[in-house]
Amino acid sequence: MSIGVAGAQAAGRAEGVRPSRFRPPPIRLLLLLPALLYMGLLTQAPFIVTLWYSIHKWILDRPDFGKPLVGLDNFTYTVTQDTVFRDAVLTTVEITASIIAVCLVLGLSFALLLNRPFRGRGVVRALMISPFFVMPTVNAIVWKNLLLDPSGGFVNWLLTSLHISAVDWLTQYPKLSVVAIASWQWTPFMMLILLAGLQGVPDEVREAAKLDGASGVGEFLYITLPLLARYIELCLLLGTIYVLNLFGEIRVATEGGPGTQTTTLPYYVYQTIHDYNDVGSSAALGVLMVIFASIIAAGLLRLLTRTFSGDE
Amino acid sequence: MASTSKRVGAALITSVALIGFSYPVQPLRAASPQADVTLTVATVDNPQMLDMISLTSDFTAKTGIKVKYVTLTENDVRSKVTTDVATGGGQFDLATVGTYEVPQWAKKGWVSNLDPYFKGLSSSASAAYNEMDLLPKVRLGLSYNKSLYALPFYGESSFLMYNKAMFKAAGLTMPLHPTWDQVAGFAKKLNNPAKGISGIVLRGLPGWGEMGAPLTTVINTFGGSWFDQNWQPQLTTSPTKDAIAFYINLLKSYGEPGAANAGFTESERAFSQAKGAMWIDATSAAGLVTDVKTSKVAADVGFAFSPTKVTPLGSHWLWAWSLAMESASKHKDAAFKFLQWATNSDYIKLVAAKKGWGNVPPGTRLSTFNNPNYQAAAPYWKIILDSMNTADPTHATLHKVPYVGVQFVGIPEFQQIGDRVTQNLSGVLSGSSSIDAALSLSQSQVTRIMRQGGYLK
Repeated sequence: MSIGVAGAQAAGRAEGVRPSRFRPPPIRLLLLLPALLYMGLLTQAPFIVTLWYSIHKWILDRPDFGKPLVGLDNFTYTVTQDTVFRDAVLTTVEITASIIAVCLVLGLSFALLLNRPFRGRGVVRALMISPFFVMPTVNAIVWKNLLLDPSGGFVNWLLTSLHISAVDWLTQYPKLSVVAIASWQWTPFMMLILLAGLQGVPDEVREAAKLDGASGVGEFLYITLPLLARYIELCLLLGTIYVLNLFGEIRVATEGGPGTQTTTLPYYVYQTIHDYNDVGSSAALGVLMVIFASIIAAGLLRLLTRTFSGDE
Repeated sequence: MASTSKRVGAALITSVALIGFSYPVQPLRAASPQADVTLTVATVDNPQMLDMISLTSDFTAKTGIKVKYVTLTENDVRSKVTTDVATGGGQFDLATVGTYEVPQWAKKGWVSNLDPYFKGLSSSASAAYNEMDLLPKVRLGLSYNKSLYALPFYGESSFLMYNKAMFKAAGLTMPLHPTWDQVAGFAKKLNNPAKGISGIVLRGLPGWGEMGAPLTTVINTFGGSWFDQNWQPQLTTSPTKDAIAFYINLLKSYGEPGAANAGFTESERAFSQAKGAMWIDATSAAGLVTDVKTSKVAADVGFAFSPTKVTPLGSHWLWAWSLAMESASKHKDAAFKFLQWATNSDYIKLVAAKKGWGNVPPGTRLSTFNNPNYQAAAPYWKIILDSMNTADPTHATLHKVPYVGVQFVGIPEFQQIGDRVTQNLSGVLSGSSSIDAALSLSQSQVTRIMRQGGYLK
């Protein structure tokens, strides 16, 4: 190592004042190494342990079985026979896509409104953002017990006051309810990103469009929206990464039910270990979840890098 | 250069050493007998347990032992404690467990045998505790190989509660020993959704300890069982299938709104807010629905035995929330002191003095049932005592089965089985699937679990 440094130094001397293009940075590397090791250990060790568990049969409350190696049995069962898993993949896609769509539309609308100057805008903006800072479990319990409760909830009180018959939301429309609960939480997130984007749209461009006789709708469709495209894509990517892992809302509001209607992949992973004590299957599900999320994230990332690097 | 890397290396070694060596200090200090002991207790958040937490200062004052509680819901406490004992974590010294866990965990050596501790007691301490005062069926449920492995904190069976005002207004009378057919008839007559009244309230929340409990008593009294002698699941075979269909249809036709999300707590709320004409559930609910502070129907509640169909066997359950010592506990002597305090008749008197006789943890001791103050506060005591004396976990089905348990099957796999099946059934309650589809899915899931568990080839 020290020979390398000495060599490089000698080379530097020989070439005079001109700095060399490449120099091995041993001290920097050495100083970085602990951090890299720490990061690697922290992020990769749990995954490797999960991989290890996933090829074993380990059921917590059957210690008499030990932890025999079963190869890919956990995976083959899950993928080929477990109907709950198949439904969970579809449900995850369905719920995530719906939440992202609702959040995008609402977030964009609110961002457009908040981008206009009016009195008390700062207060309104702070209020609009606040749902994002409520804990997911608190959010879900408020929705479940105060808003959507079949006999005492606010929504049904409103409906019956308008002479519409009461609806048992969490039982009859569980997916819709989960989407509503999560959208309430995530709309402000999208709104924030889009608002930042809107504030970056130069006023001159808009004024020029107006002078050229563009209508409000035209200005939005042909000026604002294209300029916002990369922010919308950012919303899409970050939103998907976060919402794919949606858990607290489902755990509290529906517990994956009724039946398995709102059992998403993250919830099924949790259920397999928490309720069924099956470490092997749960680890296999976790690995499949990582693959699933990676595919989606990679697709979105490609979309994003294309727009960011290419011309608009 | 070389000295830099040496310094970095030395720093690394030092930091690793610091982390490494700081660990043993803690246990060493905790193990020394002079230091004051703090017990960690995992407990469910039932009202009776919350009373125990609030009265713990009495125990600390008497023994100098401090107690830290980890309070969780039923499902969570079970999972947390299972993980702790299965991995030998030793996070908890004591845990609340039920009659489902105790024999299984005793067999695996996860909880400590209490007999040696009782033998070690002085005769006066032994007389003060009076082990024989514990209800015999409860003691049976908490034993393994004739040794006690847990002490009951409160015990319960199941029975029927009904709204006397609604029955009177409709000109109906509830027999003391109703049948399920009669109950279904009453439910039909009293169901009045327009007025927000359901004919019957039953648990529909998924979970083997939630919907699974009353459902299994119905399966038993219909003459069915979860498994036959060869561990073949019976979910798609009569009479088990008929019993499940009966329960689900009854709940769907005349049950409370939101039944698929209604567990014990939600059912209690519906019944005590006069939104249901009948409720079949745990006998420990009696204190709640007759409490004028929380129940609108406190003065109107009537009680009857749990309904039957073809056999009285297994028609009402047996459960005791109990305290057991984890084998990995490092403070077993202190833990045993706590066990004696929390399950003693003196503790029951303490609760009576502080919260009234209606709120004492019921169903553990004959002396409680024989106490005139308790009898006055709980006029339904005879039904509870009778139910608890006739619920036999070793003989709960019409035909012979290879398992013990009234409202559960005493094997570790039942937790998953019960959870999965009731979850499928809650889909039927919400209208997203049919009984036949849910049962055939359940049958295949249960078959896989039983095969994985080595019961089936």
